[in-house]
Amino acid sequence: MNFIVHQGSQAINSILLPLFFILSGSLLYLVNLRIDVYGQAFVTLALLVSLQLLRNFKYHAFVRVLFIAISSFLVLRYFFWRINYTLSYHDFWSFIGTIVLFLAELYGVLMFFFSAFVNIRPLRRKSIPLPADKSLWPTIDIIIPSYDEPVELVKITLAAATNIDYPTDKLKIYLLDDGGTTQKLTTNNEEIRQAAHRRVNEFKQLCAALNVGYLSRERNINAKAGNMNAALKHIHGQLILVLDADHAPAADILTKTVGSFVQDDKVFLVQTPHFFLNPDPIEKNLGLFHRMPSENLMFYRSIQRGLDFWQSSFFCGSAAVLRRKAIDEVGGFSGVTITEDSETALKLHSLGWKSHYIFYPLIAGLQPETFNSFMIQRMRWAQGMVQNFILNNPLRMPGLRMEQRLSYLSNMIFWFFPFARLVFLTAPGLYLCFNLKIYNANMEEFISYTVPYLLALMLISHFLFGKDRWVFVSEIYETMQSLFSVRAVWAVLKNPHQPQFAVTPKMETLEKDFISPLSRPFYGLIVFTVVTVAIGIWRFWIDPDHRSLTGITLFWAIFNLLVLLAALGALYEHRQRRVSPRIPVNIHAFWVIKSCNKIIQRWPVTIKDLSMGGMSLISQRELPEANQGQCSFIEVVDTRSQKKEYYPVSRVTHFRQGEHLIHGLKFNCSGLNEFVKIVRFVHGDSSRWILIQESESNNPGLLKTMIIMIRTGFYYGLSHIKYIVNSYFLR
Amino acid sequence: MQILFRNGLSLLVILIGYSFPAASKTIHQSTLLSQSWPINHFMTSNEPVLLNNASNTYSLSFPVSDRVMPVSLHLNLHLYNSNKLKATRSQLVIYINDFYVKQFTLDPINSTQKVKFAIAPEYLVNGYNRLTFKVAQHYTDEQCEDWAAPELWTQIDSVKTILTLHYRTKKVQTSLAQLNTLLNDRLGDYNISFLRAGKAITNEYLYWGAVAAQGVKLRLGYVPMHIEEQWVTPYQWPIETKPVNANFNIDPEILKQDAILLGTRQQLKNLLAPEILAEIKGAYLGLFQQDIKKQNFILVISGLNEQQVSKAVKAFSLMRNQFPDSQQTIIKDINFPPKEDLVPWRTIVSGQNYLFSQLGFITQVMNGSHERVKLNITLPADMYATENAMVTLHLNLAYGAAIRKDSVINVLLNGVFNHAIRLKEIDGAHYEDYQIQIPLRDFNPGLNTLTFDSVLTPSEYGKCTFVQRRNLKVTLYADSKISFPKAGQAASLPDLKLLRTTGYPFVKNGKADNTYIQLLNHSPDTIQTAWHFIARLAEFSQTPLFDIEIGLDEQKENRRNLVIIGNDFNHADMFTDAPVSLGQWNRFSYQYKETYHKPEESWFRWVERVVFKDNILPLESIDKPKNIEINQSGGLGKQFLLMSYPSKNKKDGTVLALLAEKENSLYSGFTTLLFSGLWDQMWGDVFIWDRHKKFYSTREGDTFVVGHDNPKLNLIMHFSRHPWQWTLIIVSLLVLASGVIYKLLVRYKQRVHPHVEEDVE
Repeated sequence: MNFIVHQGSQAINSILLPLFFILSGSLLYLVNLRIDVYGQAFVTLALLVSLQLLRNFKYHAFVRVLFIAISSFLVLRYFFWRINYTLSYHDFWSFIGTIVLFLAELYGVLMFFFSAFVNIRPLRRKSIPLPADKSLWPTIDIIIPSYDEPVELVKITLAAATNIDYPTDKLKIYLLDDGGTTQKLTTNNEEIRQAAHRRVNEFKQLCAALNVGYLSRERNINAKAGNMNAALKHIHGQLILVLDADHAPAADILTKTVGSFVQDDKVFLVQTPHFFLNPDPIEKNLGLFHRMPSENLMFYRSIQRGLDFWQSSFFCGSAAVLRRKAIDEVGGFSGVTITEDSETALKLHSLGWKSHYIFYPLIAGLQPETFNSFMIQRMRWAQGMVQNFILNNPLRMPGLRMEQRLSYLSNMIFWFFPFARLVFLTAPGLYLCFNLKIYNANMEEFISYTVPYLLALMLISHFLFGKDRWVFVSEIYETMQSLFSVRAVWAVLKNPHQPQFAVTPKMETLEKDFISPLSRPFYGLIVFTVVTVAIGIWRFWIDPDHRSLTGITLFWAIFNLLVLLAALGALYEHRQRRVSPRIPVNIHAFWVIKSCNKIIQRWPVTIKDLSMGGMSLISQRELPEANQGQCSFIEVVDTRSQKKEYYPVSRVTHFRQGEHLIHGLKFNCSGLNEFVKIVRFVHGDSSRWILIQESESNNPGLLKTMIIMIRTGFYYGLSHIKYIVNSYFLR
Repeated sequence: MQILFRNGLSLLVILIGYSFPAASKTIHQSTLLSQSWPINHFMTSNEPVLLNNASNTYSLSFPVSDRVMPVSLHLNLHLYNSNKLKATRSQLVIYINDFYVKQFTLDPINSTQKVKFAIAPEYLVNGYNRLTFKVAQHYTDEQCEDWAAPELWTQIDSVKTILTLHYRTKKVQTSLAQLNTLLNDRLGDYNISFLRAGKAITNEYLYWGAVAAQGVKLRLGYVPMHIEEQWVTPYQWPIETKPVNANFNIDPEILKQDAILLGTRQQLKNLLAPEILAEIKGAYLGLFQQDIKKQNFILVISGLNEQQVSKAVKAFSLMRNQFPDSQQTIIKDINFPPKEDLVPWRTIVSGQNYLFSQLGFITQVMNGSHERVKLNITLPADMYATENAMVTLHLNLAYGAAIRKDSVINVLLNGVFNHAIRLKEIDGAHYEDYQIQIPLRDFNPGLNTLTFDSVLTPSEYGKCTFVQRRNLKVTLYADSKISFPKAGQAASLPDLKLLRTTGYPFVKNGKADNTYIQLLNHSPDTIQTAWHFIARLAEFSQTPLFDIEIGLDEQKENRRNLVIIGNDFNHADMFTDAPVSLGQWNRFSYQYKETYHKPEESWFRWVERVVFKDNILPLESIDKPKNIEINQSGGLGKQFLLMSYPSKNKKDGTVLALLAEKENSLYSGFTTLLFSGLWDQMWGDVFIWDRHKKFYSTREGDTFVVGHDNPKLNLIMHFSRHPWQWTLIIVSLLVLASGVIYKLLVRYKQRVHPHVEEDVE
């Protein structure tokens, strides 16, 4: 009986692929039928209603496929119509505008299908536990490359690394200090040389105290990849955990990742997400930190899982464990491009190695504080991925499977977005200001083809990434990057070997509010868009014959203006003095007064936030102060060991808020051991990162997020303008 | 010198012949005859002649038959003029062929005038003559007046104004080269008899008559034709009345008009003189004067066997120009071109470009305001295109200088305004490739007319100013082009409107190879109707339909379209699927109630209305008539019925039934249908009319779509009409494809990630 069932399922399996091609072919054929506009309106309305209904069943894999299929159909219908019926020649400049806009849309549609492919079946991989027999556990080298990060920042990472739960005989930690190379120590610039010497000395002392290996090299060649490759000569573990200098690992980073390597010899990478404690400048300046999902969450929660399904999740430079044998097979970390991580992964995938992605935040890092630093980081990513596209094009690379080629291509082509984004920003002005006819459609066609297409894009984005990214957030981030990335990407296209690795500045302190020096190009764009909107309103008023078309374009221009206003708001940099970011927590603890290690008083409190500097907590009653000869502590039960831990603190401030008392405490750190203990308390528990991520992943719904984003854009954009007016005109 | 003398003599003979035409020909002096027509008979539309403005002209053409010698022409003029005209300066002048004939004062006191006057025959020509009315109208004695003042008008009553021609008939010329001229006597409707030698009616005879009728009709063009089918028996001439050299043994009393005698030599042997019989040595055509009425002819179409008669009758319908100049001819063979890529003359093929000149247009100048030039385009009946398919006009045109900038050329499609070309250059301009796009769906199947209407305004204008109008000129060049988009072939049937405009589906692309004409009886009335119907089909193609089949038998296997003609419909089973059932009991539908559907506003219309505040009219209610069928004993009576319905036996086949009661003349009904404007009223699938031109048209039965050449377009047409089906098939395919993709993903997961445990979302 089982045999018959098995035979039946085999028969079904064998016809699945031909059936898929037949059905796809049929749908493609039907997509190409130019049904009358009423028929088109009818079917799109039915499909949009279906999409709206299907949103309620999003957790079923079949529904996800169906949702993508329906959206793809609507997108293809639009594109079929766009190609066949909207491209026309009126005059030379209109034609140029038509082609440029079409290419931008072509890019958008291409990205839609890449995204649909990548995200059709995200793999929610559980971490594989390590075997009980510890002798089977592989040896591991933790490498922490550093270039010019402050010592106090690296110190946290090093301390956190020493807290990692793993047999000490199988674990070695190395600081790879590129700030201490012979080249740096012997540079002609006296000031730099002295600073380098000071830094090296501090690091060496710190490493010695923490039992961490200190490695440096002769020259700073090939940036981070060169640094790590130089270290490979000195380290011999079976696995390598790569951590950025500002990525403090949780204690369980290895116990959650190494199991994959033990289970499968062909695994070369286990990548985990990057979790950040501080907001990026856009979140910070728009007041959206902890209110909306972090910008990188879409990549780390959705896209990497999708890539993992297609065996294409790739190395992101940190928070990843790699197999030494695999790295050696490709001659170390690749350094041809400035994104050595994805380049290395691509090569190893092409050799048949496997990667795993575990969506479990196991490091806590820092994001750039200013828009300037943010752009340095993003331009490096953009340039590196475009370099990869040109120099290691997955379509040409032998050994990759088709799904891997498509997945990598998706990641690389994404970085061409600045061109498309700029076209979308300027296109309405071409029609309203210069009367260029770049989109040949009437109102009925626009409503039957374009509106469903836009709605489908919005719905699928919300369906796939609703918890990871709010609507319009992509538009704001991409718009802000596009003005600068476009030049960076263009430079790579002209000379793919030109880009140099630029380290992202971290731990910057902003003493006062200021306007980002990168604001200037946005002013030009905003003025152009405002003029476009004004002309659009005027034309809408005086030209009733073309009111439909003008109205549509005006709507588009107003949308652009809102995005640009939000961008303007994000360019108004707000003061930030805190170096150690506060981590929102909810830990039940006790305020303890000790004398000679004897507990005198113990009051229940709740810790509300935590940082390397201290914490804030709330209590129901007044907390007693420590008297002479007494010390105050916070008693916390370690979630992993279930042992009580005591952290020496002193109260800095306290005030009443409603029925509660709020207390500000700072750690009294007496030595390195105390510091390591505090690092373990603050950074060691990865479950906190999950809670934070979950709390950020609120999805208030499409409409509400739209309203929030529009309101935010307005408010902060006008704040920027107000600041300028106050600073330059009313001073 | 000799040469000079000989040439001079020849010239003298020619000049004498030209100056004295009566002397150069032997004219049979017949009795004086006359014929009258209201002038609207020669006008394209039945409306009065309105002459407004300070000066205006109206011309019409009327024919004078080649077979007559005009004696006089009388015009009985009936006109009304404005009672505000100034008699001292207002007049009407009449010209015939540009020669002055008569002038009248337009009197404001006697504003209704009836004037009768004769026009000398010398001004008339055989063929077409132009009658021109020209007015000068003023309301003041001063020079300073409004040229287009509304009180400046004169109206000629086109119904009461009668043209009467008095004439004597001439002997017909018996040259086959004259057939084109002879077959339109230009004396009104053209009547012709088809003479059958034997009593028996064979399918061959029916075919010969059908082809010959087409030959006559194609020569007549728009002139109405009347056919009479007659059985003639050999006639024994009384000795006292027998003409010398009589050619035919046919009773002259039954020969009332021109005739065509059809039959094999054997069948005709008792009707023809031995001299003619001796000439029938193959497929034969011979043209003879009738023995008594020499102004009428008998065309003999014959042969030694049926095949040769067929060949001869085909040759007759094809030979529509001046060859041969002989009384008789034997057709040896007819070499038809290969059938591939043949389409009727001037029929549009989708995806092609045409010069206007290819469609019969010649370069024309429009002078002044409201002059019109027309381009006729014949589209295939089943041309189906998507809604965005555009016909593009690439116009080459020029217009004069100093025209006011609100001047335009209006472009009308089938009389409906469609587009305008603004003439905005004050210095005039010459446009090359001025493009206008018109949706293909705006065109009708069959004949379409593009009209270019010049609306030109002088730049200087005023009451007391000399207004220059001679600069108001637009030239539309014949090298302008019209390009047609690619289109498929699909049509919804049955549809009497398609039949009326194109003959579809019974004739398509000049072919009738899928059509069978079945006669319900062999009465002359039915036969005449069938032949005339076939001739009407040939008119659509402008070429004879040799591949048509006609007979008394049942429908042929290889012919999917059936035309049933007759006034004896005891074959009740033929009409079981018809929208109207006739027989012992007659089923007919009557208007009863309507099904009511609440109008649903489409969402883009809603957006337009709400968002853009466009001034959109309220939605009309969607009501579908719900008729009721009644079976009864009463039948057609004196009415006639044309109905069309899907064939029960033939896939994609259509049946057309042209019926009347037994005691009624179907042919008279059919000619009423053709010539009284009723033909243009046909739509749906049922059409009933009577001789008083009362009619009723409706749709009762089902429709189906034909057109196999382009499945994609068929699908587009089908789904455009049935958006529910389109939605259903898309949704089904998407669900199915998603299911398959889902299964493939499951399989991929099992293969690539066999042991991976996953978190629950």
